[in-house]
Amino acid sequence: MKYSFLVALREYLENVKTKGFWIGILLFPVLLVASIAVPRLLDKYAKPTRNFCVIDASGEFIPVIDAGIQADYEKRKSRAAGEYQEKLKGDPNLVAFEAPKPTFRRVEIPEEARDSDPEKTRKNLKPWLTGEKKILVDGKPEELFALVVLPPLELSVSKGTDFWCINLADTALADVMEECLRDELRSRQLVEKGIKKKDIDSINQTTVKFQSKDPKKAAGEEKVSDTEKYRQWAPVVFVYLLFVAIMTVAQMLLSSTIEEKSNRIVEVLLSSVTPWELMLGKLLGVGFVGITMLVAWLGSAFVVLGHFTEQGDDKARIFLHLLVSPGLLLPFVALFLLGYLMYSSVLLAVGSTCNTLKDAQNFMGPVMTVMMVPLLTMISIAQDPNGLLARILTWVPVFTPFVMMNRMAGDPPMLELVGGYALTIASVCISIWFSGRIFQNSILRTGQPPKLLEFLKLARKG
Amino acid sequence: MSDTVLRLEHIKKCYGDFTAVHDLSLVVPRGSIYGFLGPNGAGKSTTIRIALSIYEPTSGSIEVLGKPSALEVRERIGYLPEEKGLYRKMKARDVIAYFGQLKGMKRADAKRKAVEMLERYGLGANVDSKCEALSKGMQQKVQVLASIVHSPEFVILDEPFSGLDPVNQEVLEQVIADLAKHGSTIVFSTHVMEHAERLCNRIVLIAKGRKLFDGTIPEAKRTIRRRVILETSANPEQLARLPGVSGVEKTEQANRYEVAVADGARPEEILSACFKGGIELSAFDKNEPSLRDVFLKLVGRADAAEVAA
Repeated sequence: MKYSFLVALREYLENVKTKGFWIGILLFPVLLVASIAVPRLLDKYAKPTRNFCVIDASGEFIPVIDAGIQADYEKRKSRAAGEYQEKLKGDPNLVAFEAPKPTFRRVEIPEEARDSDPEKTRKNLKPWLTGEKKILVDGKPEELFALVVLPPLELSVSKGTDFWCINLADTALADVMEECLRDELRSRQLVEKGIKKKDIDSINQTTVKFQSKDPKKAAGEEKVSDTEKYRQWAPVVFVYLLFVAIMTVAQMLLSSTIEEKSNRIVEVLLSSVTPWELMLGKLLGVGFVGITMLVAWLGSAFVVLGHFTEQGDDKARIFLHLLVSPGLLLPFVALFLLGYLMYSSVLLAVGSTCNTLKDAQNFMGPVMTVMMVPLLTMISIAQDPNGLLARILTWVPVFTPFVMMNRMAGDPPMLELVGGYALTIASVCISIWFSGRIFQNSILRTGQPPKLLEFLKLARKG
Repeated sequence: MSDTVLRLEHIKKCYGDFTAVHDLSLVVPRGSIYGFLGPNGAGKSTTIRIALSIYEPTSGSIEVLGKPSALEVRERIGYLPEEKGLYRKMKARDVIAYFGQLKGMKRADAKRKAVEMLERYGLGANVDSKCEALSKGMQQKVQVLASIVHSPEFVILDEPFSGLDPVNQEVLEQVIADLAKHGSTIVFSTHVMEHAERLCNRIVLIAKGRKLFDGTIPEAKRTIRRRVILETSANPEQLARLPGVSGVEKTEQANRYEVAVADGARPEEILSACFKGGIELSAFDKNEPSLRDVFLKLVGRADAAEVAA
């Protein structure tokens, strides 16, 4: 054990001394801050007010659209004011409230594009829509985001109503307009049926909002909070982190084994330590590198989320709460260790049979493909943590660590919980034993790496 | 304390159908500098790995420093393998200290000793250099130092001179001499006979996995008859009639003859007979056979035996 510890210590120190390791560590909080702050900043400063024109054949609907756009802006402004008030409670010295920029702005059709024929007007506007020409807004040239073409509208607006725009992803403007035009047409029909406009407006205020409740909770406490809603999805983040962490450290182990083999250091080592001691030392050393990385990631996430929580960010508060909840953190740490031992022992065995990193990459293909399965299924499992897919994959040993993490929000049945952990522990033991035999019989091997079936022979040799 | 550092008894090592070592037995006495000689592929490295318990023999037994496995006494053994390498990103001092620690040294002692050794053997300026920044010769020196930093009582060096320039070869000879002076027993393998002849007091000669000879260098030289080499354009057959001369043979080289001389006979009498008999000489070599001659003769005989078999 003393020798394994020395091997582990060297592995640990040599890995944590590299620049790449620290860049990886520091990049995580930077990305976390960026993922929270950048969308905010972009929303505040960079997202432009979308300018749009309307060709309204009937001339009736432009006031409706203007009112709809204004109402949408008022709603956003009111929400921003509410959030500001919340923040003000935590920080009385907050800078004065600044109303958000208007999201959408209707502009008049440029003089040179106008025509008495709406179709010709539309065609004339093409250079503005494609960005070749700019429209003037308060004397400044700006881009025309979209053109809305409305035929004379009757009961349905589904035919001949066109939304011209080169940005296919941002549908917010189309959504707002669809909503306000739909409300207007419904109101007109209701008026025709003899209902007063005042009554219609009153009826339109009616809303239904479900309160989510959890039947598993004690009476009186069934209400589902925002934290619990996010908790349903939090395991997905942890599964992803698990994947990244295991892959990162297992790769470290693979390259360090190949370095020792290709640089012919291994033979000197084997005059001082047995292959098992060497393998155990490497597993421990790089395992601790992984733990250091996780502690640094979780620690920095704690600091970053704490900072944003203090600034009154609700999502940051919820994620911080989830981060420190033992129901997620403890399984995460345990499953990282088990998953790491399972995958890294396999990669260690692979590394022991290869003389170059290129040889190893040929074996990495199948391993990576297998490891992609938990990533591809993590959303489905998060939506139905106790569904058939989740239950089947729980019993596939190579996926169990990831699937168990994925299911943590769904409180899996005790049998599956205990069984999953027991299966993972058993798989880790088998994997270490199997890989250890291969490692022992291959570490001094030279020449071509073995074929797949030869791995079995190597494991069987005494 | 036993007088034997290493004992191999009837060692055999097979890889599938191929037998790398055949029924090899040998004893390395304490305090000796023992040469493992043989051509490439002779089985020297396999025998060494078996002696170090890196490989298990197919049959036979080993005893190292009184134990049945080298792993039980690993802290008392130093080993430099044939294929040498270092951790490229580690500093010279750290890598030597690491291998010292693996041999039971305390971290601080290993570091201190590493610096001392680097300075003693001309690498004082490279104590903190990363191994990848060192020249090949320097790296090899660091590897040698890493294998002996813990002052082992038994050192095995597999082809330690290969790849070294003459200056570094001399340094390595000095290292070996220093180790022997401090009482270490040294086994080193080589196929360069001059090193073995200069350093070893015992040798074992292996070819095709079989032991051909085991003993001292004078004993090795006695395995081939005493001879005088003549170079002449005349026919020296008449020398065979001289007392103490058992025969005259033409060698493969043009105009060169080997005159077999009995123990106690004087080569000067052959020279005198040449003058008297009008045999004009362009060369006369009465030197005793070198280890190289012994090697070529024994290995050649082994090859011939294999061809005959």
